[in-house]
Amino acid sequence: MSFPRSGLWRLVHLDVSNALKTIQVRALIFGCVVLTVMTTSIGAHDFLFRRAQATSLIDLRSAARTASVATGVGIVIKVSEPAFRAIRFPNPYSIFVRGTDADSPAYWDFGAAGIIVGPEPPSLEPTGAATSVSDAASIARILLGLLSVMLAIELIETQRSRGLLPALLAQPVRPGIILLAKCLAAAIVLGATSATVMVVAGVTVRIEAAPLLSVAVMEFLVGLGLITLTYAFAMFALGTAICVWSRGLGKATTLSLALWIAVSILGPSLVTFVARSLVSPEPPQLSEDLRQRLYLAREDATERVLGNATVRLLGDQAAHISPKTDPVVLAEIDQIWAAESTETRNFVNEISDRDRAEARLLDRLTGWLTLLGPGALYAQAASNYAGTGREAEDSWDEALSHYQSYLERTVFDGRARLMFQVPSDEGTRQVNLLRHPFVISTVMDFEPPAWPKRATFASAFRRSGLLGAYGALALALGLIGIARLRT
Amino acid sequence: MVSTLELTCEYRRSHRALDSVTLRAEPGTIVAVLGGPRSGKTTLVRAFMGRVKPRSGSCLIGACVCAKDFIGTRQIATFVDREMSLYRGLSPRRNVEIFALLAGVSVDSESVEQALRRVGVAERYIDRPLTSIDTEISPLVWLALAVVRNTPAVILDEPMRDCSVHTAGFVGETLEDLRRDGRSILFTTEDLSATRLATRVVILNAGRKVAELTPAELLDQNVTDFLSLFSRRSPSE
Repeated sequence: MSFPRSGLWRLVHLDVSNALKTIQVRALIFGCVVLTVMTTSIGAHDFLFRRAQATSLIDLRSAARTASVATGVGIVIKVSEPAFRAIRFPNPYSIFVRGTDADSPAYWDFGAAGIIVGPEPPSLEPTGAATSVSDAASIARILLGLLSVMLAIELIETQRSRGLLPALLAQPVRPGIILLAKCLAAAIVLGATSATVMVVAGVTVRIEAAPLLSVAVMEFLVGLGLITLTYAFAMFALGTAICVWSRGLGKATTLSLALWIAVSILGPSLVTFVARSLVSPEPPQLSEDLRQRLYLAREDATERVLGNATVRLLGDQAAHISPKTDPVVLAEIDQIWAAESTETRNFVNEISDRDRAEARLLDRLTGWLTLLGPGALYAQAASNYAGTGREAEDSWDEALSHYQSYLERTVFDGRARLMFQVPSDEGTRQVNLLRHPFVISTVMDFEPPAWPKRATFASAFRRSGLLGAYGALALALGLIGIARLRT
Repeated sequence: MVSTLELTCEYRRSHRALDSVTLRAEPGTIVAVLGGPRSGKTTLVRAFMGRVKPRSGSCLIGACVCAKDFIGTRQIATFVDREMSLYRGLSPRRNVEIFALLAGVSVDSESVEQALRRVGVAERYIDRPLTSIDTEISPLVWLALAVVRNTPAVILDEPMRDCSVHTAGFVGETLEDLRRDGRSILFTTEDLSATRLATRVVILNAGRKVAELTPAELLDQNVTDFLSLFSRRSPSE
């Protein structure tokens, strides 16, 4: 017998109206809306504040560069040079998906001893931490997650304990149709809530910071709404599987709420915690210090070697060395310098490589652990979609690394100016070898990483696909369970 | 026709809920299955619903094997289980319409109303949500569904349990009506007086069929013989 479509939609309609009549569901939808308004409002103000901070940093860098260009002085860099500073502007989508945007450095400095990470930008956000409930995506993750679980309890377990599900299963209808009706009902409620949350977020931005609401932002909100719906549906499917397989309303409620706490609230933090506890990466400041100290020590050693070589090659003339000195001798000094500076660079790079390897391992581990729960997957999908997540950080790291390499080639390792002490009868004397005065205006500006929109979509929807797979697997379990209920 | 042949059901290996039970309800007859608590009445209904798989023997509704053809048995039989509930927020009329729609039966409002009146649902209750009706009328609404669906078999698990005398009277009248329509009706009960409706009474004790009598034969039994039917002996004894 083919089941009448009108019967399916009647079941869906009844399930939707039954769900919307419950006080918990109404309260959660209301909570989602109110908290979205609050977090989006805070996010918009925080974004404007951080953007103003970044603009002031740009002004400072321009001033430093102008001064360098005006004086035409070559650069002697051992620690860092503010004129090369890479300044990160806040991501406008961080209003909705904060991710790590507000916790990433406001700028990076470049020096001969590697990249120096700047401080986090000042923020208006009250809680600060990336994993806190600070944006619309977190609200959706936690409250929509709870709404999904509550819907599963209401549509499956409550109906079973009240006898409605046994009554439906006593009719000539396949259990799959009954489950399909419940899924459609849940999809309607969750879809409507996701859409409402996104519309409310957009309206809040329109009210709080009208110029920020562009077509791109609206498109972004549509995409975020779809990712949110996929996540919420996966949570509903997991809740359904739990409700179908656990006997008794109390047990089903307890297990479903435990799932929600583990997946929606603790999920993303747990992933970070476990990954960090397994890898235990060196704190960036320690690596920086180590690089600086090693670099300076190596450079001192280089200067000593160079000084000794200069004395050996030039004898008494060493104190009067100038670019016009014998080119053969200069070439030899150059060679010694090149060998020593290469060794210094290798020394520093060893530390950087170790840091990068640790970071890669941490990333890989985090990626695998993320697959374990829809909450963490959603957080990652949303932040990657917004460009405030790990992938954006990776692209920044790559861009910074390229720029550092470029500066090493053109500035830091270019033997622009040598200053060293040479031993003499009167103690030590300083020798200056100023052959290639370097003018800052010829250095290319740092190019912030482009985050192509298509790649963002692809990345986000790859994770949404995983969320969908979670949902499908849980629904399959639910279907087996519901068929078992009938027997 | 509703029948079982040597039906044995076990929940666990240690607990045999039904032991070689054979019975049949022909069209136009009512079979009452009488038994005390844990006698196997509900298991019998669940075996017809396909919710309990027989360990041996067969359980048929028409030509459908209950344990295998879930949809087929549900198409030719209306089940009323004690676990089942209606949509409490809807009226009796809407409930009958929805469950009939789920069963693939297209009904008009008029015929639903007629069915509800026929089973004894007062007119003032027909369009009121069940939550606002004091009287327990769920058994009557399920019977109205049986009337509307017009299935050849109707199987009920203790339909008169916890009913007022008034409602129980309507249930009885409706079952008699359905019998006259030529349906095969099987219901379980713990209430001796309810067996008066039946054409045959099957007595279950600890999962075993201990007697099959007419209501008149049952009433003619002397007290000692009658009570011995319900003595607490396990089937293996």
